[in-house]
Amino acid sequence: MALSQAARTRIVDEFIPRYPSKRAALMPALWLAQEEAGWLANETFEEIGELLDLHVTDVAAVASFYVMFHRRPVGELLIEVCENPSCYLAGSDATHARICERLGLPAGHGHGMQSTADGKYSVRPTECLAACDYAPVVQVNLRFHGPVRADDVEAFLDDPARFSIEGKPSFSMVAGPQALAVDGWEAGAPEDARSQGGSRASG
Amino acid sequence: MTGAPPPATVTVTVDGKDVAVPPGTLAVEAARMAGVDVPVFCYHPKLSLAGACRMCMCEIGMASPPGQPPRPPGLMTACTTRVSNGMTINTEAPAALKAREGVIEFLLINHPLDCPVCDAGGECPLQDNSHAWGPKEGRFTEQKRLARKGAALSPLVVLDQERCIACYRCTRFMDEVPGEAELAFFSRGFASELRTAGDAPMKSRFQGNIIDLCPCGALTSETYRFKARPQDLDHADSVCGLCPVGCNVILDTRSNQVTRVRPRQNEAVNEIWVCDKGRFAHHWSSSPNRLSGPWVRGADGLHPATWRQAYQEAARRLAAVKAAHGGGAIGVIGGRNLTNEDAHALARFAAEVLETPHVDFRVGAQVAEANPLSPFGLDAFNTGLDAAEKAGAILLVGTDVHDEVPVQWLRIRKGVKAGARLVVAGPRATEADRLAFHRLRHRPGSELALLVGILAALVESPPLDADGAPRDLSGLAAAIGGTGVDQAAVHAGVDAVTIRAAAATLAGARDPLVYVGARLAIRHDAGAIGMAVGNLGRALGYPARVNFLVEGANGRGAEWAGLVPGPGGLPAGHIIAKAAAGEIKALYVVGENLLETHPDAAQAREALERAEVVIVHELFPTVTAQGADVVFAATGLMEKDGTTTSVEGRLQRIYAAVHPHGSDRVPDWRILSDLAAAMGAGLGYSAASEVTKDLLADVPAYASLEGKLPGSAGVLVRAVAVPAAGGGGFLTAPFHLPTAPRAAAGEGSTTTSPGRARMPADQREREAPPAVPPSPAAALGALAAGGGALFLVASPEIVGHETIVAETPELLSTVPEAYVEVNRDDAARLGIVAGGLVEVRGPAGAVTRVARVNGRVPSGTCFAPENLGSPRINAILRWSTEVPLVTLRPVVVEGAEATGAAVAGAR
Repeated sequence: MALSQAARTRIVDEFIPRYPSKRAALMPALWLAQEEAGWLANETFEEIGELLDLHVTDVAAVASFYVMFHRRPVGELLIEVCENPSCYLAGSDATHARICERLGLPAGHGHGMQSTADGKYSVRPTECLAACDYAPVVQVNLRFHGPVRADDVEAFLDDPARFSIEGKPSFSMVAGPQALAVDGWEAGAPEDARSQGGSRASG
Repeated sequence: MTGAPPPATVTVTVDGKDVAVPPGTLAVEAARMAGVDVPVFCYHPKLSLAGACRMCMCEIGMASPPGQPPRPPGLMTACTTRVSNGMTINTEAPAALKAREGVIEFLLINHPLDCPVCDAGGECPLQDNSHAWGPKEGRFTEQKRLARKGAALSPLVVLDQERCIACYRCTRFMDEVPGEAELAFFSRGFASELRTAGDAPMKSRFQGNIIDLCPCGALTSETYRFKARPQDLDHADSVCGLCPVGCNVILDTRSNQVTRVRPRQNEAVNEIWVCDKGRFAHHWSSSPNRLSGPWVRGADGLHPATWRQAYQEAARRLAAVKAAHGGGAIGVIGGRNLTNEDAHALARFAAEVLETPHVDFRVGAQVAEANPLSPFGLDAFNTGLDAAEKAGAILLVGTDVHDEVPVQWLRIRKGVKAGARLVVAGPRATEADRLAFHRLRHRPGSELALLVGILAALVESPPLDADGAPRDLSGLAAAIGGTGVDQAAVHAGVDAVTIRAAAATLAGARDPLVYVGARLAIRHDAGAIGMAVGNLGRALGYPARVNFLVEGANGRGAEWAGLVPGPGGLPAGHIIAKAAAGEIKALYVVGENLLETHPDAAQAREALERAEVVIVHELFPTVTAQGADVVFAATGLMEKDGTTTSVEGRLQRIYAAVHPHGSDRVPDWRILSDLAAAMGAGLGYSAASEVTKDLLADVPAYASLEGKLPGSAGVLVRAVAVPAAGGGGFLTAPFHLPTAPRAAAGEGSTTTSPGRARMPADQREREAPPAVPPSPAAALGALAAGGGALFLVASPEIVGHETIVAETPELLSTVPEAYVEVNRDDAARLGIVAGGLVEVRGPAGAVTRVARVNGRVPSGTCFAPENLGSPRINAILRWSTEVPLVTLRPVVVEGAEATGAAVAGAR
């Protein structure tokens, strides 16, 4: 799970000079490492610590602060179901339960992440994704999908792309601020989905 | 206002009382100066500010600018608020009391309140502050958070996460003081928990301090857990007896046994810290393995005896040697871990009773003069330990300060964080290298060449005097015989550019400080090194900022008490050599396990076997004691009243924590006094205080005390009056840097045991050296020979497989398996893998070690700790003046890979 030479070079030549202290390059370094390997092993923390002159514990502790840094292997598709009020009122708990059921995972696992044995799926609840207009929102590999109601789960698992919110991607921290300039922010918002989500929630 | 100097003090009002404090003072400290104790958890004067716990809320008001309406005071954290003129600090305002009550209620939501079974109960800030400031009852009726309990952060420190109030004292300490950030809070908020990366055990040798810092019983000591209640403990003020720093400690005892050791605050010595060896290695005192009474050798070996029998037997044997060969046939070795009183009694015993000049506490010493700086009219150590805090630059030569003087390393770190530039010279990377401004990685044994190189660089570009003119160092140029930087650099194996840069750093620094390792003060070239170091101090314009460390808890005290060779006396190394050669007939060994500490185990064995009489004072039946004719069971430093003198020359009192009643052990001074009486020449002591009186009267260093012992902080004294700054010219050192060192011819040609190894001991000894560092030619020759010959560097680790450590299994379990550190290039060439077993073959034999493969030693050199493994590394070495060459060979055994991997992961 060692860092690639390209990643090391990028951390040293690009990230470190970007900031006044080496420690400040920790977040993009961790993100880059995770993009490469999918998750962050202790060994990776050691390598990053060496590059940034940080104790491995410091690196690991920072990574542990953020739920988006994975300290265990994650499935090919990371499915995160929002459990905050808007989505909850729209039935996200049922969505979550149904996804778990369809994937053969025990429901009601609290805040933890569950993964299928074949390594294809990981599922976990998440905090507000700031996309309440698509409630219940489900994030797949950091891309918004929604609304995904309990009844939609089979279709969703069959082809998640059908539920994608076009033109409203999340952004990569590593890619930098230019990724924030999103094309078609409004274009992709399907009016009908929004109204359906609202009516379903109240009914 | 412009141009006016900042005020020397600002006046603040604490609970209605005006107090003048320095600008920048924290409100919490200002309150303390006014005699008001603001409760805190996260705040600690030795750590950075966190503002994490909110316990110190006070109602603080600021003065308004003139003409403006008064501002209402507000709640602020006193621990992060700095004073301003006219500030009012109301520590018991109703709002502050309410806030504090809320904080306590909040902190106790998840605290288990298991005080009755908690080690901290009775000495717990959380408990105290809850009683003093907390609400009568909490409103939280839900289930408390469940978290890790009794979790080992290491074999020494135990965590109860449920008790933790997340004050971040422990993590700040680890990060800031020893600089080993191996502990951190993982996750966040409700889920926060203290962990190490990968849950690896903590390795720091200062981790015990977080137990003291923890304000709530979350961190407890594995060795003290559930052993006692604070109110059941007796206390004795003492000084740690495990290294020369002389950390002040409190020994807590219960039922006449030491249950724990705590640091005692002394800002001049250890501040409030102590290393893990000092804190945890105290179980030796109550060990059943201790000698419980004297032994005498009969026809059938050693057997227990009465003290009378032991004294008579020892007296008879010593008298016989003295009668047949004279007092000069007796050698006295040891005394670095005794009290000053013991040392004084031993010095008197040697001089008046045995009548021998051959006395030396410096095991392995090759030179008679104990103070390499005496030609300069200086003591061996000339600054206070706290001088490291304010130095502009610090040069370390021949010392791994982290392992040699651990708590002083914390002080050096503090100095470096305050701006001191650290110049580290050594043949391998040490902990100090992590903070080094310049690293001078010299060839083993070439410290002198390196120092001469620095002097030559100073001659090239002299430091500027106060008036801006370059200092006249022509005398120094002559003193070093015109040696140039480049010439010295070749011999030291260090880049001349780096030497020049290091010299410039030292020359440009205010109050530079030089620390030289204790071993360089006893080595064959100690005189020349002393000359170089003394000249360096003078060249820099700070003649009295040069210091030699010393080995042993009371090495300095032993030196001053006279446990050094008298006129015509031999140094300890030569005493052993002569005993092995049959010229010294009797050895009197006090508290020294020579077979493990003399640098040539075979020679030490030969000496002990060949000597007609061997008398030993010991705590434990060590291998050395087992070869003796008479063994006296002595008491240790925790069991003695008296004084010790630390490396800096601080005389400090110690009080016995454990009283030997019921056991048959006797302090060394009494053994010596009684044995002297048995030999018909009593020293006349019947109490330690009588020896103290003599000591203060007889030893010149203590004359200034006029017979009065110091208080709890001790007193810094000097054996030699320190000269005024700038004093004196440069002294010529008896060194030379020959163009063709003989090491090249002798050792470069053979890869296994160099020819000298088979010479008889006396011949080796007579061959005593001029100082010759191994030359580049020798090093390259040895390597080119291809047999894997490397120079061996050896020094003790802070905690090793010592007899005393072995009695504390928790501490012993943190000691790594004996290893040899090899450069990765050499390892690749020799087929050595990390964690694999390696045969290390030296001139006197071979030992097996676990390989550590890294870049901490340069190619051509390897490192093995002296105090690890059985047999010790001294089993393969000859007592010689040269840096030993050893050969490394991987050991191939079935299943070795698995073993190696396990060991590699262990540390």
